[in-house]
Amino acid sequence: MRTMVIQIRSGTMMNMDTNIAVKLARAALDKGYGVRMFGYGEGVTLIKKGQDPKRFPNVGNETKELVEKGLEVVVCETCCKARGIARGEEIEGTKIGSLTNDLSRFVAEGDRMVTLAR
Amino acid sequence: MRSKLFITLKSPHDLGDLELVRALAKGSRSGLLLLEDAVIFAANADLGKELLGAVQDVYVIKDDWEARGLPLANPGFKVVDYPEAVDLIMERYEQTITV
Repeated sequence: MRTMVIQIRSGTMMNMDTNIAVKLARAALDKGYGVRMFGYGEGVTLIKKGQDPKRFPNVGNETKELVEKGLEVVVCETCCKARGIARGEEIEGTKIGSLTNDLSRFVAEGDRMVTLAR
Repeated sequence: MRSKLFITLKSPHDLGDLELVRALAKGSRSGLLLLEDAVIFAANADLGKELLGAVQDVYVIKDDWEARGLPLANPGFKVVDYPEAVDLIMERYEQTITV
């Protein structure tokens, strides 16, 4: 199965980057591709459990829903620790991992890599 | 030379000059996918011509374009939805570069 890797560095409430990431992931999953997403920097907020934005799309809920459809999401633990996000606070089915282990594996095994950044 | 899909989320005021895109695109089949405020390029004929001077095809993501209520000042630009954007990324071009 061919795989798209999406790299995200923006926080869920900074701009629309994470919304674009989940829309792209949804469209790719629906077309039968594998999709893997890696977040670091502010991008780690993607996997934070309990997000409850008012008047904005809830990217956390969308991420959870897509994980159930096969999306693989990993974020950088170092960046999580820097922001006080501890293991156990991630959305079920997502993972707090690392650039060296997980992003490198995603890049090595992926067919296309999309970076959503400014 | 591998075909390239450039991706940008930056508005025309943030993207700066297109020299990098022009240089990387030279000699290859190339396209540019406009997301978020980058769709503003589609509303300005002069800016649009500049893009079409750097790449062969320009694609505008429908959601962000409609959200801003912009005109399409460049008939050569193609408005695409997310499934079509996936096709561009996974099938039509061999490489993606975010600028």
